[in-house]
Amino acid sequence: MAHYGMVIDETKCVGCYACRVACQNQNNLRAHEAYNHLEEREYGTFPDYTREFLPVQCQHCDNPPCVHVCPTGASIKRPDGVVLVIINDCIGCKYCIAACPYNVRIIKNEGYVEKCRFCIEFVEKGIEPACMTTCMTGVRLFGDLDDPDSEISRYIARNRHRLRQFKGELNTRPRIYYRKG
Amino acid sequence: MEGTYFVFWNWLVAVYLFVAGVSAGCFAVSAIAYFIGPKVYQDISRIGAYIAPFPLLVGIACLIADLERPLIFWKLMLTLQVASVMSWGAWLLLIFSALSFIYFYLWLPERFDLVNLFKKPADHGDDVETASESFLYKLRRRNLKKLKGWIALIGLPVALMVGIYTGVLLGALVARPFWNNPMLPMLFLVSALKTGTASICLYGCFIQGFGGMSQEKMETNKFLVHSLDFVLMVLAIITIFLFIFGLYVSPRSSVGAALLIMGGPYTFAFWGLVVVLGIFIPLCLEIYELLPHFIRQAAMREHNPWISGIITIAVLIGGYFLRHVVVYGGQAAELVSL
Ligand code: SF4
Repeated sequence: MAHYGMVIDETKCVGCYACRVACQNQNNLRAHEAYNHLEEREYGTFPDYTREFLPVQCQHCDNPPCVHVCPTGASIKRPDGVVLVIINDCIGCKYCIAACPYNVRIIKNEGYVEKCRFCIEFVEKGIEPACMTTCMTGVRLFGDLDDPDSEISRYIARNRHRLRQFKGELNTRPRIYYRKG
Repeated sequence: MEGTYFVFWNWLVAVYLFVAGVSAGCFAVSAIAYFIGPKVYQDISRIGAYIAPFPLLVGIACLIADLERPLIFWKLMLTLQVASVMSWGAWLLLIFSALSFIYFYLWLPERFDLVNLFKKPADHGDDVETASESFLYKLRRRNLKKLKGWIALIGLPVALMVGIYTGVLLGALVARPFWNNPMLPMLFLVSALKTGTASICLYGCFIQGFGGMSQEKMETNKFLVHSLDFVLMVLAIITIFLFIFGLYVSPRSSVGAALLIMGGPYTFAFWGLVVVLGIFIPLCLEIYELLPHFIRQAAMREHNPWISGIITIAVLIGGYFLRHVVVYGGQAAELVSL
């Protein structure tokens, strides 16, 4: 069974927001809705100055707090690692929004909670997630973490010391790895 | 997007947490009073039983209104998600409201007895009892005392659990530094009991009134209410101190969350309304009331409706604003940072 994961090389991100727009298109989102956002941070004052862009989307945690807290069982973790919301079972209590440390869940106007689904319908057909298709610097790498020969597994093996998990100390065990330096 | 947050839970949730606490507190105080003096503290038990079911109904209405899809709220009751505090809470509330309504019924005066509803005037002469009548009769007249005791005994832990649950609901979230504090459920429980005594006192003093109550009876009631309150106030101060202490000795994000009430936007609401109005002013008045009793072992002071009025209203306002500050503060606190 495939076990999907992603690597995000944040040093390559230039903050163009193309991934966000691609995702909105793919998922038919309204302008104010987004499944991924960029956390922009500035450090220092000019000329000793730097800034970073951190693309954040659902981390598809292996220990997902949003799934644990869901009172109706609408939030689920699939065997292939993808965290999904069964929208017919979602009553809109927003407890999962409170539980997610990454601030990636949104309420749709229809009254249910949604978030990045790793574009799973497309991935199953062999197409990449939308956020990867428009990125001009190739920030993201997506694939099967269970297959030791996949590009992503080899990348992770080679760069293990440079990769970290976002807010890993919360024991959410994210499936997205960030490369900082 | 750092520094921006959106409020997904509004004051409806704060109201819900507050009134659920009032219900739990009323039930718990009523049951405790019943156990320490079923005869002596009858009035307190009775008032507590009268109040208990109703704030909770308002609370459940708020809770459902806060859902984005209120029409399918019943999906909550189709499953029990073992890992979800909210799922446990939904069932807990169901059990608690059932118990509090039974308890309420048991304390009603005899003329409201369901037996009366089923009794047909024509039946008076003969001894034939209908099945339902004899069942209700057994339930009611013969075993009233025993039943009250049992329901109080079962209901007391359930009420305490409801009080704790309102805090655990928020405290279980590792992502939210202002909520993820072991003292929060304790704080909510103490506050729940406090608002429970306050509403009993309020109802007793201003709605029921003292018509026909002897001086002595009033004094015994007042003594229990004030002593309970006094102990709870002291506990509340300790818990608040430990709550803030807990925030300060945790990682950076928690310290940041503590700043919300230590100079941040919720400072006044917390220190002014929750601590001074909700705890200190009532505590001083309690001490004023109880002092002669403690020091000179003399009788209590004359009943002064102003004092009771201020204490109860202040406690209730403080209790609400505690929930308000916690609900809004928890969302404003920055998520645990990297
Ligand atoms: S990132 Fe948030 S929404 Fe995604 S699995 Fe983790 S807790 Fe759930």
